[in-house]
Amino acid sequence: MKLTFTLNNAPQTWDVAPNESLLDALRRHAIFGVKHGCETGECGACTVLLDGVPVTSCTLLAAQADGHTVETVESLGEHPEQGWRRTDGLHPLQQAFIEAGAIQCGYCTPAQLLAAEALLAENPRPSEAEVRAALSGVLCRCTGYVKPVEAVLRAAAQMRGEIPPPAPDRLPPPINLVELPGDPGEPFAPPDQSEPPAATDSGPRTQVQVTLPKLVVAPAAETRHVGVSEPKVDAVKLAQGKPAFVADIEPRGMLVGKILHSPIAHGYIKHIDASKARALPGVHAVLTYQDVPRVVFSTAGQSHPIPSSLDFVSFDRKMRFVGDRVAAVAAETEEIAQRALDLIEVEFEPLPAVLDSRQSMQPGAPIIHDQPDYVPFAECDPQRNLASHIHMELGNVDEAVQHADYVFEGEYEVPRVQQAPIEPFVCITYWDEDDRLVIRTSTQVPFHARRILAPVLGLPIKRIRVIKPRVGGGFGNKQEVMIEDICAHLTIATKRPVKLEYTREEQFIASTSRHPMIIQMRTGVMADGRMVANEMRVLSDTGAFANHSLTVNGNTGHKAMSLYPANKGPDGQSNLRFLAEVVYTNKPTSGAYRGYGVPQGFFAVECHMERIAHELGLDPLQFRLMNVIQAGEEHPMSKVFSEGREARGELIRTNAITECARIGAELIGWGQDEAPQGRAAGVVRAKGVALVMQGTAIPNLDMGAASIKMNDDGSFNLLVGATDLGTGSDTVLTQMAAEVLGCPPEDFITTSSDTDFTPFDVGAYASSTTYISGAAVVEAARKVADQIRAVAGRLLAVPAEEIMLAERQAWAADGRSVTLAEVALDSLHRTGQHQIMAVGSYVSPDSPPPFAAQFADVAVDTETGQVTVHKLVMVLDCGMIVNPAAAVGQIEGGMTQALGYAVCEEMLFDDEGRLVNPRFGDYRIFAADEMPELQVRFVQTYEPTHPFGVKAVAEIPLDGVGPAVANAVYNAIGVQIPVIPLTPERVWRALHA
Amino acid sequence: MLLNLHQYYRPSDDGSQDGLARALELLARPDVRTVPLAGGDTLIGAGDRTVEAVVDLQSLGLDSYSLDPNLGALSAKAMVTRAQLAGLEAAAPPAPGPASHAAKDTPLRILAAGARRWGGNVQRNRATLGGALATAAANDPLVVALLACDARVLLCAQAGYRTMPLAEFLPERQQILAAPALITDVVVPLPPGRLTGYGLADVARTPADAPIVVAAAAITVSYGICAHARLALGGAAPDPLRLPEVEVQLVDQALTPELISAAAARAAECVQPAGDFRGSAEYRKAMVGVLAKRALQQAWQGAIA
Repeated sequence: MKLTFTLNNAPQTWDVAPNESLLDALRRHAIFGVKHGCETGECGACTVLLDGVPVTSCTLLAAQADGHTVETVESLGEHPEQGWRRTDGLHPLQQAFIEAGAIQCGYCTPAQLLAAEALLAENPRPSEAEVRAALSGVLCRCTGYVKPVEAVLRAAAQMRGEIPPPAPDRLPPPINLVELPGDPGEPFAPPDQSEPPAATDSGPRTQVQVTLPKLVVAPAAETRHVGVSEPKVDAVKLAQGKPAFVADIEPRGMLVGKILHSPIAHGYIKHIDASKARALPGVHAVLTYQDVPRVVFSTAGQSHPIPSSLDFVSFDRKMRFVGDRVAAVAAETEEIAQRALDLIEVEFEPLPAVLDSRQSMQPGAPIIHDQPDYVPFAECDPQRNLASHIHMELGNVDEAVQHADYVFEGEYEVPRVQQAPIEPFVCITYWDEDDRLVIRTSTQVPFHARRILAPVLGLPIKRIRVIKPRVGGGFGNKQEVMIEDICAHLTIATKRPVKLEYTREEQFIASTSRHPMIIQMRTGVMADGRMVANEMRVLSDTGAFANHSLTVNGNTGHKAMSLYPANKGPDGQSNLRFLAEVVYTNKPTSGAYRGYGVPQGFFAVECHMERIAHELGLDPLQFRLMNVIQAGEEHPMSKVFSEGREARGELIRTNAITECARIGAELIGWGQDEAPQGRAAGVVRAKGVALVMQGTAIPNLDMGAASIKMNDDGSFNLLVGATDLGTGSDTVLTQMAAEVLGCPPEDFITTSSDTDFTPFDVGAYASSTTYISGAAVVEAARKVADQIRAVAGRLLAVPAEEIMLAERQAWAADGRSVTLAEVALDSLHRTGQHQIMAVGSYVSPDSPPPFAAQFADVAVDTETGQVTVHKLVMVLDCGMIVNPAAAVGQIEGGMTQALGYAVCEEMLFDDEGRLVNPRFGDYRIFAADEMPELQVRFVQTYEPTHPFGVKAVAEIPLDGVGPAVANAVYNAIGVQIPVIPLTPERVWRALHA
Repeated sequence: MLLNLHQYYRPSDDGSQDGLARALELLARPDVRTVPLAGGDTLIGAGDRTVEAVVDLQSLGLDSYSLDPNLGALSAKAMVTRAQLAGLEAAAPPAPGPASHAAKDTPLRILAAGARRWGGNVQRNRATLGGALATAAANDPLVVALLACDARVLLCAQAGYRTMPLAEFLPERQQILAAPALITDVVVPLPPGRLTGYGLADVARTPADAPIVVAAAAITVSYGICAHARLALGGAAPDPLRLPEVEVQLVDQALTPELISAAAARAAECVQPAGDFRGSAEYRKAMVGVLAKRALQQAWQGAIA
């Protein structure tokens, strides 16, 4: 049928099918600013303006738009310089989003822009609440909405001809330790409670314990580009909705891939007949376990050798969870592919399923992995459904517990939650003209993906090219070779380009999620609060496959238990024990999720600390600080665990957690709560705290590399293997290079993550990029700087070592200079011709932990159990901050994800192992109009193991919100609830127990 | 994707035939499974493979509402969106309470709140009033508020128009609409005077999440006596429902907190909810008691303010 409408001010007549959505029709006509995030209209990524009104286009038939006007982000504005053609430039909203740091992955940005444009057209002077309401239909998983809201308010002011509110780099500056009131390491005293608790035994006074820090203070800023909120290098294209993501290219002849998923949790394919599907016109391939070579591998995107058992194949006869792969189809259209799936006849032979991790290792439990080609790793026992067994031990826990004044035991439980990036998994594969397989994919680990896929596809690594374009969020979900093998198999089978893109439901049922855990704590404490022993026992559910099972769960103990070394006994020895059994179940596979096992651990540790403080009558914050690890101490668990590799102890060089706690306490108003008010009080408010630490990369393993090439005009190509998922890593790496080379970031063309062109990098995980890849960039930049100085020294007739680079020039000590452009021209065209270019790579023996204090202010309705979080505060020591706006944005987004973990997010299953909430809405993530106030501050230390003193930012915000909220609820109602999310019913039941 | 959808119609008044009549004619075809298409979120999002044809209602002139206190009613066409209804709040006075003694309460307040408590702004721009009533999600605050406000539904069938109370329409709606019939209007009486108050209370996982349980109430007080009471619930049964057996407990009584508590407790006794992932049956039943009390108290305050 004909669709006649006006698109972006131009009349159009298109042929559309009656059942074609407007989203599909627009994208089919190369309008790529509209994005696919779901099929139910709930995420809003596909928003367009229909007659000026923002509506979702995935739930709008194209035919419904007939006779109407449709606007997409492509109509807003464009880059001001298009060669000889001049444009009106970017729309004020686009400009504000760029300047405010409102764009992270950029996948939902076009929708946010359109929603904001519609608001401002109707209401040029909106309040913050009105802006939040206008953005409430567009889910963002990256930003926490703070910066997008700021951007809209700034744009509104500008469009009214007013001076906009301050941009992010005029926000409260990071605090360097030297500027803090009092001496670094001064004992912490919460407001209204300046006296330390009296010691009740003959042990050392606890306040002495917290004056230890040998802090490495931050120097005064001497940088021009590092430490500045530079606009993201990819922001301009993302603000325009340019075709930057995987699905935004369509090679000619491309087929559509679809997967048939298992409806049963456990069992065998008894019989499968794909003949009718294959006979359907338009179908080019149907693949099952009968058609693809069986090659065992792990989907975990990790360094070689993969630290987990190899228990996965592309297609198997055995089904291990609802959502497992039965078959895959490649067809000319999605509709044909869907019909083909319907025509595949499958008869299953169901087996009893294991759906509860507590039952997994019980005698007689069904064995999930009984295949002969299972390749074990470390301590596993698939015959008992044991995917990994982890044991870390320091000191003598049992003896220390015996001598402790008090022993506290508790059990805590955390749920399975989904990373839920707004861009689902999507991959395009094709053969290039050299018969090399190109995999364009939304991945965090392009180099690992290439290495892992080579044997699976029967290709040498050199015949595979993996391209990572912009990625619409990952959060660990895409540290997985999730669909690339299927897509590639289909291309191999058909010789055609194939696109495979998950629906939102597939994203929920057939990708990875955070490991649910049941955690038992046993802690020995002296009467004055000194912790002398700590033990954590974890039962963790890896789901159907073992990927990440050792490393995620090892991290749980490695990091969450190291914050409190339990070394306050007479001998100063840490007494720590961590035991984990990671078991298989017939649930979707667990995997990497931002925080990587640490949020689970800290929920247990920090709730347990709260309970101990309550029962001993200590201030919870003071109790923590008397036991927290200090600078100058050795990271305790680093001595016994390193992700399945040889452990080498690491020193904590920087730690401002005491200062973080002090500032956070002031921001939240700590100590101003009333006593718990109980169930009869109606709505009660209280505050909670959690202290946390994370790591910065995997020591002695994570490696990053970069190359820098100088161009004729003095600009540079910066090529990094690092994988920007929207985090801003391309930007901060560029800022570091700019700092070394004395030119602004806009002089760099930064390219990341193409295995053919960029150097190796492990990818985006373990909070490694700024630290590891950044050091590699600095090394490459320093080498290039040396080469520039050599040329400039010759041109200026001074020794090269006297040359200084700044302001796009090479300066001699006497004030003479040559421009970098002159240096480049000379080196390429005139004298001693050579390419100024260098490579840097870096691997670190250290993983300096960032530290933070997180606070929550909550209200609890004691009649309904509803928890409303009013404010979250996070104060961090993340070393020096390269880009404050980007770093704050990361923290705000992370806190928002963690808020969902605390109060509403949970994947829930029925008795057959089927996920009952596989869609947004039912799986609730926070929207813009229901957010609490978020407050973020940095306390900068200078981490001496990095050229710019940085530590990690990315994961730590996930660690403390859950326990801080839970502890606030505990403080409000006087009942501790050891399980999250704190749903209304869960709280209500606790109050009525 | 509506995989088997192959016909799209958009009837309108074209001079030779009334658009509604044409729509009903299409919907009445026995050989082609044809369904009405309003906003589309629910229909298209569900991807029902039995749907072969849709009748788009956008050109039937059903997208306006009239609000004239002198006429004593809000009359809204079926294609009026939730966003439009949410905007009714601007015409309504603030919620009754100590700070607004002079304000006259109005059903518009809880209708607007009910419309707004569903999805985000973008989604509410498409979701329609008619769609809400045809779908009647068990926990939809808009439907619950309409029930408490004594809304009536105007239906158009091939035999002609008829009107019926929403409370009677909801349990029978699938058969009524399959006949076929189309919802064309919803009428909400706006009681004159200053004596009726309204209440809406819910519990949810997050402030903007769909409610687990929601209650709405309307109370008219005359000379200190409850002259009229309405209590409606969502999330307590497969469809939103009214509880006449509780309402009669209040009418002709001098309201007291104890009486309202007793009525709320009775409401909890009356329902037998099923549990789901948002809340168990036991929790929902308990929340009916809590939220019914809150909604009734709000309404009572509004009535006597």
